[in-house]
Amino acid sequence: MENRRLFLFKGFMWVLAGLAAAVAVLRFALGLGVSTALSDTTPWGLWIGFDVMGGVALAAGGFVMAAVVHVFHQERYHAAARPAILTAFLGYGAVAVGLLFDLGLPWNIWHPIIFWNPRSPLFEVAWCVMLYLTVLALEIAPVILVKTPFQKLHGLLSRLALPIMILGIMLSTLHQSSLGSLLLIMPFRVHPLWYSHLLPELFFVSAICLGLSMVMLESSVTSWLYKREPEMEMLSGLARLASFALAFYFLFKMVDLAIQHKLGLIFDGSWPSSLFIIEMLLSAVIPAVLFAIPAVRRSSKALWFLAACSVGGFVLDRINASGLSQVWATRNFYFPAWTEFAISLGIVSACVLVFLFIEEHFPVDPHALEQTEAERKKQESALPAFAPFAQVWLGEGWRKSARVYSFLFVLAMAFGLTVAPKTEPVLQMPAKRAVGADILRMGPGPRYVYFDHKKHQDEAGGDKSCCICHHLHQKGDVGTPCVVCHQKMFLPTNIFNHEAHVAALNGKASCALCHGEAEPVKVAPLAKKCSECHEKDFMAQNPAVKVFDSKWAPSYKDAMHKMCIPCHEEKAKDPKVNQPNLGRCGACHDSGTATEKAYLAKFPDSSKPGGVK
Amino acid sequence: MNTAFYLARGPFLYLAFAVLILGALRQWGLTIAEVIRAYRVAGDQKIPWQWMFKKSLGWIVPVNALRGARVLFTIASAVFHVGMLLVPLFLAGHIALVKKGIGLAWPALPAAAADGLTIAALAGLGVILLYRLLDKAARFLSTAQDYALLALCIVAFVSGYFVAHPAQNPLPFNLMYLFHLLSAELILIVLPFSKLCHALLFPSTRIVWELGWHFVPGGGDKVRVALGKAGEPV
Repeated sequence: MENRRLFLFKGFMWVLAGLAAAVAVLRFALGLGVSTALSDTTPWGLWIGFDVMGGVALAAGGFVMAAVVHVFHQERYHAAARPAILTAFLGYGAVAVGLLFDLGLPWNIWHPIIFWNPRSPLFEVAWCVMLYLTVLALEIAPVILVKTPFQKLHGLLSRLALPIMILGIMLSTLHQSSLGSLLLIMPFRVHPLWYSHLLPELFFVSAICLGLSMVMLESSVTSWLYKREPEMEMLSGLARLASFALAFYFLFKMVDLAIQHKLGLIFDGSWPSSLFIIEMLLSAVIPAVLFAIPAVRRSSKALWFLAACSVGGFVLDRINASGLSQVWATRNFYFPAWTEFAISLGIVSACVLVFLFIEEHFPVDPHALEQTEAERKKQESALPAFAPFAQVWLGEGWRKSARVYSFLFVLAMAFGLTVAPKTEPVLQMPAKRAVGADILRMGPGPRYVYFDHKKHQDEAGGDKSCCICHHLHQKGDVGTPCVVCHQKMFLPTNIFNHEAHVAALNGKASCALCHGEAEPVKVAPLAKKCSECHEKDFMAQNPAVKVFDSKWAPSYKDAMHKMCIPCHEEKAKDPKVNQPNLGRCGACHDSGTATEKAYLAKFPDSSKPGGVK
Repeated sequence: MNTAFYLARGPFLYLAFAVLILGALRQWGLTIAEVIRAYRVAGDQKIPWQWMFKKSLGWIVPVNALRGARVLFTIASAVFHVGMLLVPLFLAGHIALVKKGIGLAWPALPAAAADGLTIAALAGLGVILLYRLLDKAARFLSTAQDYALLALCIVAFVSGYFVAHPAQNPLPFNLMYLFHLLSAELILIVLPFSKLCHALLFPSTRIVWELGWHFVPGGGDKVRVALGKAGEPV
């Protein structure tokens, strides 16, 4: 392999893609709870911040370069326009894929096409992504089609190139700013340093800055990978543009903060303020100042480093705005799980690999294509190589690459499948007395079900009747509520505490009590059933409650309905009870009942939001 | 020791099967791509499928080879392969573990048959090893990998036998069990990437061999002429 650097780089990309593939399998098989550190209070984490917000921002190079070259006719940047548009296309593709990972119900992603909600910022975002992705595909299609038999289509798209390009610039402008509008709707969640009424404009200006930096970074990286001379004239021109844009962005941001009287927040020493300082230094201050120095603009290494610095800073800005700066409001600590990093890096690696593939095989940059094709031709006539271990002929050129890369991918994916978490940690709850009162208010509200617990208990037979509805109790408790063990109904629940049993049963000498003497391997499925010792604790009599026959519990609604309705329907038929409407919805789901009045008389404040439970 | 035992029974087992399944998919994908490519460049695209199928069966049941010069080796190899296929897949203990893990089960071999096959396979392995060591040509062609794979199979079978018969076990049970787990898992892991991948690729060996005969006669010379390297040694 001639270009060892490229080979190693691609191999590393394949390893990252393999890890992400493994996590992807588990994310779609087992859900978000297992594969992320996200929660109901922090639903937007790394994936939204980096993959979606960052992906869109990284793609800004496409519309910036299209505008620079085709609208402002700066022809010397022509060579950078096509790679930038390709980057934009792949970036938006990554956004769509990343969104699939983050959506709780990814199969509903097509809903905005049919179910219109024109007042929703997300609706605008969804349409912008769809339209702009289509337009980008049309923009990049002629490059691919020129090497296929579909020459008529290629001719048509080439003639339409300019209108498509203009449409792309318009849509992208809309979309970059609409991501800012998305955050406008949460003024109390986004930290004041990031929140501003001018968020859409700030997002648009920062997207232009990031677009310029990204084009520089991408051009430098590809010339490093393929060992070409960096196109210094173009790069230093872009750096000059970037220094103006970055300075404008910095001033814009500062003036905006000053008008809102928020400048003091920058130096209040809190965690968000340090994040803000780091972000501003990386994204705007350092690159803007250094790009302005001509000597720096002449050094390819400095440009490389500063472009990376600026890109990192702006991606951090998107992550801050959409996630980290909200931790301030939710007070719910969030740090991404490694699986989240794996997916994000894997998507980026896959994009990089597709980018390199297209650049090596299609005329994105005709000069570069000539070079890679000449190299490929040289490789075709190289002597065959043998794999040292499998003793198989590796073939030459891409066939060798296919074997090596697929090997790396397979190993990384198997490793990822092995180490990725497959269950959420089981929460060990301390035993406590039942939280019951005479009347319980149930459901999410504002229309609650008021449940007369005492009346039900008395009618069912007093203290001995708990087991009719409650199934398994915690130690030292009677009638433990569902929520104590089933914290999330859609996850398998296990309350068995091995350490506590070992401690209570006289330490290691007690293994045989549950595991048996002859059993060579001590594993749970072969051990004694819990019910052999705890028979009296498994008291479910209600046919709706089936203990341990399924991995998952029913939802609260189903659990309640299955327990209440059959019994109510039976009683409704009983002439002695004489309440024929007992089996209907209104028997429980009704306001103004005597039970509700009794409850509200006891807790007068609880009808208002935020009242006592 | 406990940690090693935990790792071997949990994550390492998972890794072994993940590598085996993904590696097998990769190997099949690459092989199918290569076979299609070879077929497309073949001069004569008529493939005698029936004859090839018969020939493959002939190699699976090596009756003809019994008339050859390496009768003992042929028998040992066949016996070993039968044991290697039947014992891991149809041992009652293995099936019980699979049933516990994923709920699937299938009929098992009787314990006596499994024991017999294990000992036969071990004997077969011994003969194969001796052949490698004593036959001049075989020794010349053997690499470290050949000996390592043989050793791995021997360890897996011996430790498996003692795990099934704890009364005759000379070592602590858990240690023997650990040897069995690790050696078997190592076999699964290296299977798709080493010579052992003939277990995955045996249906295609005949096709690859057959396609080799269909290349255009003298095709290599034409390639050399096209590359401007006529007359140079390959």
